Amino acid sequence: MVLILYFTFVLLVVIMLFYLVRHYVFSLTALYDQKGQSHFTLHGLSYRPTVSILIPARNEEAVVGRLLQRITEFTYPKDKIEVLVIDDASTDSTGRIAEEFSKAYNYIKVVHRGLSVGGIGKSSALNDGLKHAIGEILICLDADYYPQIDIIEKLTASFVDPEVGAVQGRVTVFNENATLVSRLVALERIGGYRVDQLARDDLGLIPQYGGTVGGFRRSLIEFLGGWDTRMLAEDTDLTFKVYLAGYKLRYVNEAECYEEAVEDWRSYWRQRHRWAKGHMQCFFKHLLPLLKSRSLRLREKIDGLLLLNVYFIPILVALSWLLGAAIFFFSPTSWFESIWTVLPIFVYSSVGNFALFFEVGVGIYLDKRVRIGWLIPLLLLSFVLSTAICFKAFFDLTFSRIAGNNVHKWAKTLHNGGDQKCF
Amino acid sequence: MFLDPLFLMLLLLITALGFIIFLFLPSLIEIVKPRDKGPRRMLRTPLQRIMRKGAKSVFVPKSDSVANSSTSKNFQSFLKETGVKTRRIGNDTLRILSDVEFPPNLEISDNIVIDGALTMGDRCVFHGSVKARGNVTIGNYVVIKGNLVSNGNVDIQDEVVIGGSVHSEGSVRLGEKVFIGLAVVADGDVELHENSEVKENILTHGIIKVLRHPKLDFPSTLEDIG
Repeated sequence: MVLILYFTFVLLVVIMLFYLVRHYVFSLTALYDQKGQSHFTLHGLSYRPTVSILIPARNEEAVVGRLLQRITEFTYPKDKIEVLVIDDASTDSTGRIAEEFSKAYNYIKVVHRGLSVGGIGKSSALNDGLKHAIGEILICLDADYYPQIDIIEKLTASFVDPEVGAVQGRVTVFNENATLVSRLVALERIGGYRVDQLARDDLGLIPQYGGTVGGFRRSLIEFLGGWDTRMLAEDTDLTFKVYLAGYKLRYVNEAECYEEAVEDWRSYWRQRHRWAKGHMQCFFKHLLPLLKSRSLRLREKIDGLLLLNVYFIPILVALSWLLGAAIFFFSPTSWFESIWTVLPIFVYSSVGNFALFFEVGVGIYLDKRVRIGWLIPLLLLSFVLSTAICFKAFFDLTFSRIAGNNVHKWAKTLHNGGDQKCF
Repeated sequence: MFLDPLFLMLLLLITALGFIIFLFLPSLIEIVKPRDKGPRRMLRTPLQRIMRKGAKSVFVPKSDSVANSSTSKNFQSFLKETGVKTRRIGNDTLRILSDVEFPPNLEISDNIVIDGALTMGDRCVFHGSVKARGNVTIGNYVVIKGNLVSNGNVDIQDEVVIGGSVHSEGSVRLGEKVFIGLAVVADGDVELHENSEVKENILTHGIIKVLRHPKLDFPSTLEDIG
């Protein structure tokens, strides 16, 4: 019995150490190797495919006007752009604001979804937008985002390569000074994009589509059958569908966009719970196709496996804690062996489940910032919270599967416009 | 005394407390008295559109005349004959899993991704884009309506038309009367004849060498001058 406990425990620790090594590799890659970046972006100077910008918006009156105003300042030729605001059964003045822009600018169009069909999730809204879109490239932007004026050139440049099916830009938090939560989210974003995504792109692994500030070939989305409305993490779902179809996804660090981060723990919980649940759905959906795929290289399969598993890590860590304690009590030995009990805690402190401590530190260094790094130890709070979130997401998903209920409610994140002085 | 478990526990507790204070003190300082200058400022300089003003078109061949090739071989039968392994990407792209040498007069409507080197015979027509992980050699009078991407060197012979951009992680050589509809982006050197045309930019980490046509060249010896 004790032997089985030991074996399981060691296995879990080995899995966590695997993540540890992986993220050290990512950090070092981001620090020393950037050969893949800023190379294709140069094609943005001349390559001009037609682009449809999809903006799903549900009750976004506080922010949608800001984004549409920003789009009017874009440097991309306006005769090559089509903007589709998908008013997803809004009960506020989102639709009216979008209509006003539509009257003033002929390339902005509004798709209204009534209460009978709308409000059931982002994927459904995007599918409606896809029916109306005519561009060769589809770019998705959330209503609370505020992009660079030349972001379209930077994102579309990668499509010069016929093997690239999708791109992802960098997300930066603009309201990070609002609360401690938004500052911690900003830290996670720095580690996640500036280091993690960049390294994956450089190493030829699987950069992840983040659901916004990214785009696809229209032909690819149509080939894939649009967005899967059953998935809560439609971005991760599409990432794997793109790779399984044989295409590549590129991360463009230079294509930056501001986002409004959640500002309180309740919103943080709701958002991350949706992400965790959606990611776990993707794990069950894509695990076997990923392992069987003939179009993916071995390193892509390994990275894909680790990526799919990332929201199970807090659960595995908690199991390690329990197992460590069990071993300690059932098999009391020397002080040296009791170190095993606390080892998972230290490993988890190094591994985490989002942007990791050292990745965040490297990202801060690469961004030439210092003081925000003083908050890194507080990421322990979000990591501890993530453990609870992942457990709840796992149980919710398991129970809903047992009950045969595959329809999951989309928990929308509320946006208030935030502190806009950085614009 | 030193081996007393109670003393050891106390020592451990004090050390742990000290460690926690040491770990979280900077965070507390930053929360109480924030001095971070965030949020991060996004880069505000847009990509500059560099136009070659006043450049005259040297040679613009009519691609239709080349594309309308009655001697085009069937691409599918070429794949069968040669037995090269392929894999479909999406519904409009074909991946070839080895080096490949296309015979002359081949016409292909899909995008093509090649896992090795690519050699194209004369008068081939590609209606999509082409990518090769190895070197690319393109014969005379070839038409590629999309883009050409290579992880190696690109060697383009005479009177080739590429509707989109050329992207190379090596060097690029353009023969005579080559027409590139958009840009050339390369890590290595770019060499082109003076009667070739790149409609937009040439961007390289190496050097750009323009070769003069022999008939237009200045006399190089006194005997030539007479």
